[in-house]
Amino acid sequence: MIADFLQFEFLRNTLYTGLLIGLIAPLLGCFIVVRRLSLIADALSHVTLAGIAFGLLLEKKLATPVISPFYAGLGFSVLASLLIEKLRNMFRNFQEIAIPIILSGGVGLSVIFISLANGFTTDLFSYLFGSVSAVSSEDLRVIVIISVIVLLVIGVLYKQLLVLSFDEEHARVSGLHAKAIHFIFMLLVALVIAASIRIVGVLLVSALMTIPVAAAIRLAKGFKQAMVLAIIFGETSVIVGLFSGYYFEIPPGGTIVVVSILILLLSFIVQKLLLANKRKTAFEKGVS
Amino acid sequence: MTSILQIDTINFSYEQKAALREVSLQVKKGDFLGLIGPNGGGKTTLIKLALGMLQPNKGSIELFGQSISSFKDWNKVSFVSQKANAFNKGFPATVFEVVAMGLTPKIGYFRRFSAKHRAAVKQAVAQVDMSEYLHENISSLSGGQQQRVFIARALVSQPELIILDEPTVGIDHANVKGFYELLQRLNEEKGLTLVMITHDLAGIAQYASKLVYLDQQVQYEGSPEQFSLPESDLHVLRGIHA
Repeated sequence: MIADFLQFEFLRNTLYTGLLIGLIAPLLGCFIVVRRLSLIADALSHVTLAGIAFGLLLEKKLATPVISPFYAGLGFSVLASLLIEKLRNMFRNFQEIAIPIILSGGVGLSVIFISLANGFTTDLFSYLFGSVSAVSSEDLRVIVIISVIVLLVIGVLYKQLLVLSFDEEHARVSGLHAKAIHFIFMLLVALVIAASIRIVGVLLVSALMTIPVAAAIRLAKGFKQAMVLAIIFGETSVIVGLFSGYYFEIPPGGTIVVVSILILLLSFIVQKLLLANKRKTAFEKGVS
Repeated sequence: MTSILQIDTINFSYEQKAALREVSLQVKKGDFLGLIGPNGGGKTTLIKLALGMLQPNKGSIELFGQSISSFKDWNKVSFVSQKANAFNKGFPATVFEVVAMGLTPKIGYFRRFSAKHRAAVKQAVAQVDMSEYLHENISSLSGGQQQRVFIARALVSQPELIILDEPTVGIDHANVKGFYELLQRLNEEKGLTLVMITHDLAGIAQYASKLVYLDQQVQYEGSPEQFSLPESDLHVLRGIHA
């Protein structure tokens, strides 16, 4: 099975893409989770679906590819990230309202585009749940570029993002460019969602950004440790999920998410064991 | 003595509601100033003005002899906000990571966190007697210990002035005393200038070198020993603190 992934180009593309998003999705996810923006990732992924449906509609109606569904999804995702910020500023006291507005707007537009095209077939299905055979060499190239951008920006802005995530007021008083940093961060989220969709699919992309992080923060003491664990859990979920998806002929989005949930359950058990061990050691210290 | 903060006859109002009227105040190098007053008296507003987060409608503010509008030397000032203790309690950050955040503005975007910065963090943590918790998760500490960590975060950039907005809220009585003693030590031994908003009149009166009672206007400015207010105003203060 592993040989297949190395032998066939389309499977190789899938494997490389999987490894890249297994790195960048949980990396960004760490900031998303601690900043309580998990649902924004979900909203953006649904708008990406609208973009993909728009791209597929154009392809079907015009019979020539004007803009690939991948780029259309990417464009919609970036635009939606700007719109969310606009809405969050307009509804300062009800910032979370931006999420249902954008999410339902994305689904609404998707329904309209899909209906106008009289429905799509397997293509849309693979965008919804991911596919092991959907990554072209062109897709891989774009995903490599997105990954490099994400790693560079996080490398430069790590300290500032951490301050912003931990204590927004302190960040502002310290003279950090909080608004600009948040804006760049939202653009990165939009890019990572678009990059991840080929493998995990629209409906499950936010899971790869949040579930490995949820498991990591149960076990980590510090933020860097949480990031390393989240990436290990993310990569494990992607690799096991991809291979099992291929073996059982199931869209990999499903298997990747199930593996990451199993890791999360395992983290609960490990955390309980660690806690029990800590209590036992403290008790023994107290007795002696 | 050198003036650190000079506030000169400022007015400030939120839309139509006046918050501060003709307020003047001077903080000199080495002062430990306690800023007290009832809720809505304008204490936090005054601090926000002093930090350049708000602009006065009238009057002038100078930090370290420079007008606040052109002041750039923010490394000299640290702020421990009222909300510092209200951070997300599940946040995965060690004491080291939280204190290191205090160096972020100084390091900037493109410089790396070096061995020199690491040593500065360890030193700041040692100053607040929290070295043994350096690699512990901040959420696992008590309220008093967490507040010490936030003081270390304020100290790490070696400021000359630290402004604290109600730092003792949510800390049990036994730890509050230790916290005041820590601030007094920093003030006396390191010559650090402190401005602290509080409702804890009894506590601050014991440790501060100067007391200001603010209720939209400065009602009292002087030594804590000589401070007294009419019974009605003290009732207001006690009511808030209860």
